[in-house]
This record gives sequence, structure tokens and C-alpha cells, in this order.
Amino acid sequence: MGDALIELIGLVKEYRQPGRSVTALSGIDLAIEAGSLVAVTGPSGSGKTTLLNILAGFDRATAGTYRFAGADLTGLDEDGLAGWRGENLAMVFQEYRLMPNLDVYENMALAALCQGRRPDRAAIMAALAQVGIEDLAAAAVSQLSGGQKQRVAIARAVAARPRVVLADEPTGALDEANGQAVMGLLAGLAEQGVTVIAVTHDESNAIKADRRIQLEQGRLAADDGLLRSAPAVAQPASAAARRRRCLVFDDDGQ
Amino acid sequence: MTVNSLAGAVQRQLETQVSSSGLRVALLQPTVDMNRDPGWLTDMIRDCGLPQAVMATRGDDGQGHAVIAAPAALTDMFGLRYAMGGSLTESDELYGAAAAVVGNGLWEAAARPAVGATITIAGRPFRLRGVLAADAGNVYLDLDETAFVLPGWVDGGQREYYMIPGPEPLRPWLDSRLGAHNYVLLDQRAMLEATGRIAAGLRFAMVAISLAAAAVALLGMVGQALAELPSQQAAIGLQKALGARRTDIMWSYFIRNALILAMSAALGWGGFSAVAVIAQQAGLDMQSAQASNLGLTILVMGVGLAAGLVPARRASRITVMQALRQRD
Repeated sequence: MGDALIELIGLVKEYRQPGRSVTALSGIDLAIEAGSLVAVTGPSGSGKTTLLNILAGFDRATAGTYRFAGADLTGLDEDGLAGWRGENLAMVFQEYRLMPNLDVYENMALAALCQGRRPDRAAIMAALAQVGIEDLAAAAVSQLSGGQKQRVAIARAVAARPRVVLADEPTGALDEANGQAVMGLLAGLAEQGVTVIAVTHDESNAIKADRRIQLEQGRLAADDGLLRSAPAVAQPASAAARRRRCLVFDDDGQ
Repeated sequence: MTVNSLAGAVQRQLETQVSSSGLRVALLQPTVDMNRDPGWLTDMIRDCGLPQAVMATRGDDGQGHAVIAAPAALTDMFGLRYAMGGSLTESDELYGAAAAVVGNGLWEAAARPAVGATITIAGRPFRLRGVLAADAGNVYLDLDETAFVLPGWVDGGQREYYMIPGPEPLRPWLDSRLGAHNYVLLDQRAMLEATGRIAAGLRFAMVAISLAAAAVALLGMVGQALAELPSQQAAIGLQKALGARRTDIMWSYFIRNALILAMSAALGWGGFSAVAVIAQQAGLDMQSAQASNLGLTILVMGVGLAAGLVPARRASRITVMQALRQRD
């Protein structure tokens, strides 16, 4: 699998309920290189969020292997995953998930505190500047607009200096202009070498990604870097070329 | 425990003992320091239905006056001499007249009232029957020698009360005077032991009540902390999503719980200390109570911290997925 930062091999996720079992992911093989912007698309119930939760270490696969930078995460316990997450990962949620009783700076600092580190004020202010809201550092979160909240969430991810940013419908609660801006910020992160994986329903956002993965019924239906679950990694095109790419998938993923 | 509550407990114990024997109760010489609160003994005498008794001063400064309740026979039996007047009359004893024989120091402090005049003792008026000689001002019955209360029924129901030194030599005299089965002897030592048992029982009850209250409070705290968890699920999930470990969450809850406990303990201790200061100024010995309170506070803190582990552990077990589902 070469230089893939993330490798999923035969990943299966089943939810067992009384009397039945629901398969959310069925044999996902995937490799994602560092520094790429990947859009995960698919209809509701296709397994996008489940995949993202497993990638974040929030949830565990029923079967299969999850490797990160060559290390197998499958055997890590909850605290081990939390530690790994703190060092390597940042999340951007659709609903922002900011602490409403804290101001912007405190929300940013919370991430460091959760990892047992002293908040780096300079890094936090730089991150806020990067997303264009450095003047809102002392503002109460409850007074921010949706677009501003999502910028704070992205800045929180930036300040953590992660290797991977996972975004779950990051533009889902935003209007088109703010959505475009947020996707632009995520693309900017990818250009800085951060791997960004974004789940999105929005085709206009998906086509801006370097790579688009489509899930259907828990299976990998299409991958413009890799077709049909082949356990190999497509060589990433140049960022400019990837941004020009516009693929249209039919129901069969063709 | 206050002197008044102790006195009340003694009174009830006495009443219980006496009611079982069909006899009335009386109390004897002071067994606690009454220099600062003579009123309780006179109250007890009144509540027990006893006639007013001798009031004698302890010491000669006329300030701190101890009270000794005793029948008229006391002065005769102890050979006390009078500076003025004489002992209580039989009528005083039988009908509970507010009459008193006082020590010389108290008489001097009261501006030397004449016999038959009214003298105020512990805020209550008494008609002065007599004044003890100056050298009799320090009336004291050694506990080891014992003083006795002898409530009894004699001569068709008339009550007589005696305070006597040492029962055994006087039994023949008592038998002849009261009849062999018409009196009981309660010596000071037995009285003190009974008082000690009562005090221990009350102390145990107080500790038990305190522990029960503490347990209820702790259960309340644990319950409230557990009830708050669902509303904090999203915050806990976010912290875990940001890299917090289970132990981090547990510690944050544990420390928060400890801070609440510490503040509660400080408030409780401060309140108790304030009460203790007031009580000490009123002449009550609060040292043992303060020690008990300190011990109880430490115990409650320890149990509280242990109880705080329950919500802390529960909080640490909340997963990011649970938090995400709550919002979804």
C-alpha cells in the first residue's frame, strides 16, 4: 500500500440488534495518502458517517483492519484511541460542537486542555487568523453565526496541528456562501499537507475534492482514485488537476 | 451536648427509674459545673415537682454561685451553722415554697437582705429563710463519699427528701424512719454512670443521625451528579473527541466533586465553629463536640470522595458515539 497514511482492509461494521443484524459497512478496502482532500459521498444510510466514526476512532469495526501511518489501530483500547486521536486527528462536525458556555478562545483552548497540554495562545490566534475570525477570540459562541461557528471549529482543528481532519457534513448547516468558504478552508488545509476527509451530500463541494469516494449500502461504489475496492492506491494527481476534475457517478458508480 | 439537654436526659432517666419503683424523684448535689448556669437545676427541681431547696453559694466571691438542692435536713445533718435565720421549714418542703437558705457569699452579693426578704437567685425570687455562716459557704459533698437522693412515701403519702452522706451506715436509720421498702438509694456514682450511659447513648444517637444525614446528602449528591450526566453527555463526548482519555474525564469529575465537598465541609465547619464560639461564651464545653465534628467532617469527606467516584466513573464511560447520537 505504499505511502498511504490511512489503510482500511476488509473493514466491516455490523450493528447487532435483537433478532437481526444490520451491516453498515461491508468489506471496505481503502487507502488514503497524506495531504489529500477526500470527499465521501453517498445517499443516507450508505455508511458514510459510520466510516468517518471508525476513521476517527469513535467507533470500532466489527472486522477488518485499520492502519494509520502503518500502525494497526484495531487493538487499541478507548484510552489508546483517545491518545492517538489527540496527537493525529481533528474533527469538524456539521453542528460545530462548540461549548456554548465558553468563548471562542476557550473553545480553542479546550482541545489542548483535553489532551493535557497547555494551550498555545499564539497558535490559537494564528489559527483564528487563518480562518479570518481573529477578532472574535473573546466573543461568546452563542453570539456567532453558523458560518462563524464552523470557522471556529475549523480553527480548532487547525490549532491542533493534526495530520488528519475529518469533517462530517461541514457545510450541512451553512448557506451556500459560507459552505463554499468552509470548503475553501478545508482545501487550504490539504494544500498545507493535512489529510482532509469530508463527508458531504453536496455535489458542488464533492467535486472540489482531490478524490471522491462514493458509498452505497455499505460498499465502496466508486472511487475516482480507485475503482471497486481494489486494495491499491491511485497516485494522486496534482492539486490543480484534481480541482479541475468533475466526475459524475450513476447509481452503479460508473 | 448542652448542659440543659444532659440535665433533661438525667431527669428522664430518673423519672423512669423512680416510676418503676413508685417513688418520686429528686436530684442531689451538682455533678457538673454549674457556676455559670444554676438555672437548670432549679428548673429540674421544679419540673420534678420537688419543693424548693437550699441554695448555697460555692466560693465566697458572691459571683459564681453553685447551687445545691437539698432538703432542710441537709444543714442539720452536716452540722452547718447559720449566720442568720435557719433552715427551710417542713411546710416549705412539702408545698414547694419559693424559699431559700443561701450561702454567705451570695447573701453579701445580694446586699445582705434581711431574713424574710425576697432574694433573686438565677432570675427567680425566693423568700430568704436563712443565711449560712461564712465558713459554710463552700458546701460540697464528695462524690466518693456519695450523696443520695431519697424520695419516699411515708406517713400516708407525705413526701420526704433527704440528702445524706453514705447510705450503708444510715440504712437502719432510714429503715426505721421510712420503712424498709419505702425508699430507694441512688448513689452519685450510679447516677453518674447512668448519666454517662445516657450521654454515650445520646452521643451515639447524634453520630448516627449525623451519619444518616451525611449518607442522605451523599446519596443526593451522587444522584444529582448522575442525573446531570445526560445533559453533560455532549460535552463529555466532545472532550473525548478532542482527545480526552477516560481517566481525564474521571479526574475532572472527581476533582469537581471534591471541590463541592470541600466547600460544603468548609461551610459546615465554619457554621459549627460559629455556634461553638457562641456556646463557649455561654459557658458550655464544646471541645469534645468540636473534635467530634472534625472527625465527622473528615469521615464525610472521605465517604463523599468515595461516593464521587460513582458519577465520575459513569461519566468516563460515556463514549463519543453516545454523545453524537444524542445530538443526531
